[in-house]
Parts: sequence; C-alpha cells; structure tokens
Amino acid sequence: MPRRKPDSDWLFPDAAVPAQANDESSLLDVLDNVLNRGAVVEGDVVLGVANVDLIYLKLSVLLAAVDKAVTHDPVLKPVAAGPRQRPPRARAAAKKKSRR
Amino acid sequence: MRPRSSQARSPENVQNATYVFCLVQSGTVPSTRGVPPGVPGAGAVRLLPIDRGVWAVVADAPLTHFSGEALQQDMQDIETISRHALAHASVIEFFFRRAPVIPLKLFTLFSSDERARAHVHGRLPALKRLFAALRGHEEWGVRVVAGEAEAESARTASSGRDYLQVKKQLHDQSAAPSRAAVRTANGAIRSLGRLAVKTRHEKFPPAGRGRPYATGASFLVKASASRTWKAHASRLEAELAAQGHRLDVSGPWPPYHFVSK
Repeated sequence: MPRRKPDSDWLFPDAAVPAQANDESSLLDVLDNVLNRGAVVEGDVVLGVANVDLIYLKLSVLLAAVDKAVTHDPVLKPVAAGPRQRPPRARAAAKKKSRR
Repeated sequence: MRPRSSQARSPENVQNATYVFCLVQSGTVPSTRGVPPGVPGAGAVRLLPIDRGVWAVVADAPLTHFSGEALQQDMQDIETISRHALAHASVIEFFFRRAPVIPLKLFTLFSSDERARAHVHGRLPALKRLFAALRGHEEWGVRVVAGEAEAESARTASSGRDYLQVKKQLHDQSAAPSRAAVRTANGAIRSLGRLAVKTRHEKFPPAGRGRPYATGASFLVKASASRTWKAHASRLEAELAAQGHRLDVSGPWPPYHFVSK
C-alpha cells in the first residue's frame, strides 16, 4: 500500500518527518511509541522524561479533529489517527494520474 | 559500512556514548544512503554489526549533550522531546521500509559501541525469535469514537419529533455512552482482532460528561492478509459511520506495540 509522505511537519517544518507524523494526533502517537514502547533492549542509561499525559492529550486531539470535521469541513475527512488510508476511489484516481 | 568504535571517531576530549535507534535484520548490509540526520546533538546515523544478519542502528552521542543535567533539562520540555522523538522515529521508519526492525525507546544509550554490542548480543536468541515473529507482518492502528456524529443528527433531524427524540438521546448519553454504542465500538475492535495475529488494546480516559467513549488498538497483521484486514476495516468504518460512530485506521507502522515483553 502506498504510504503518504508529508511535505513537512506541522511543528518542525525543517525536521525529517516520519510518514506517520504528519499531523498533531500522529505526533502524539509517535511520542507514545518512542517513549513507551520498544523495551526489549534496555540501555545503560534510563532517562526520566517529563510526565506528559499522552492518553488524555491523544483523546482531546482526536475529538478536536472530529469536531473540526463536523462543524467546518464536512467534505474533507480529518486525519485523526495517523494518515488515513486513501479511499479506494481516490486511490484509483491517483493511480490513473501516475500512469499518465 | 565499516564499524568503528565510538571512541575512535570522537574528537579529542569529547567522550561519546552510543545512541541506539533500532535493530535491523537483513541478509545484506542495510544501506544508509538517504537516512535522516538522526537525533539533535548526536552524530551521523551508522550501523553497528551485532551478528550475522543483525545490525544495530546507532549514532555517537557526545556526553557533553547526552548526559546529566543538560539532558534532564531537555526532557522537561515537550517541544524538545517531540523534536527528538520525531528524529528517532524517522530513522526507525527509514529502515522499517527496507527490512524488519525492532524499534528501541527514545534515548536508549550505551556507554560505548562495545557495551551496546555485548548487550544486544546477549539477547540474540530472543531477538531472533522476535524478528522471526515480526517478519511478514504489519502493524495497524485503529481508533473508535462512539456517538460523535449524533449531535449532528440532532441538527439535521427531519421533523420536530425526531429532533426531540435525538435530543433526548443525547441528553441521556451526556453522562454515559449508551451500552449499544460501547458494544458497537468494542465489537469493531474485537472483529478486527480476529483477523489479526496479535492485538494490543489502547487505553483512553473513561467516557463522561462531554467526553464520548473512545477505544482503540494496535493490530499485528500478516502482510499477506492485510488486504482482507483493510477491507474489513473500511466496511466497519462505513457501518459505524452510519450509526454515528467514527473509526480511524492508520498504518503501516513499525511494530512498536509488538516488541516489548
């Protein structure tokens, strides 16, 4: 499946951005992933990171995205949890375009 | 790439620790051409051979930056953490697009290349089992917010009676989501789990006044079955949308949720 590559990040336009981190909600996902997951190998140093309540933050961003979609932009679907899969029709159109 | 000890690379008087992003399994030496710059303050991203077919993706981490107060201070600032997190994740993602990876946590530091190699080497049997379990699989994320669109249906109700009915429903739901909504949301996650190899549930704050029920999970899906899985997710998304719930899919992600004990 083609991965959507963002042009830049909302917070740090100059930074190299993971494909997933192209919106606020996904930045929180990335934070959660790299701070709280991936524990099979423990380094020599364990660093205490500021106590950020990502669970609440993620929910509020998720709800904000939903809210925006309902009230301001009924045509475009918001990206609430990482890049959404392109709907099949858009995918087909993109394919056609790239063939030209 | 020729491995070099972190100490050998450092300028005089600057001591380096070894920062590890992830482990990569590959039959040939993974290419670092075009790799993102790595975390702020650290050296260029390079490969540290661990064993046949296994590499650690590392960078020199000058202790002037990566130790003690300087770093602890950095860690109190969400913007700085985010900057490091994005840089860390983009390096992992670079390799994930090319070979199976085991992502490590942000700021996994060893005092030297030798320490890092010895530590990872000591866990090789378990790590190789993990690589074998991850090979040919993808991680996908799903979130469901129950009842979000019901407020909208109150606005578009066709008759006054409809309107009042929807309003009453909303009022009843303002303290707690309806059981049906919770059941639908949980049912969606469960049914996606049945098409996945593994499921990790995501915690959200409990529903309450002004806060709808939200749930989510990460799924480890066989790459060969991902088309079926995604089709099912799209069907559920439409089904739930018709009932006023919202389902979002993201992925594929590096297997962040499936590498810890």
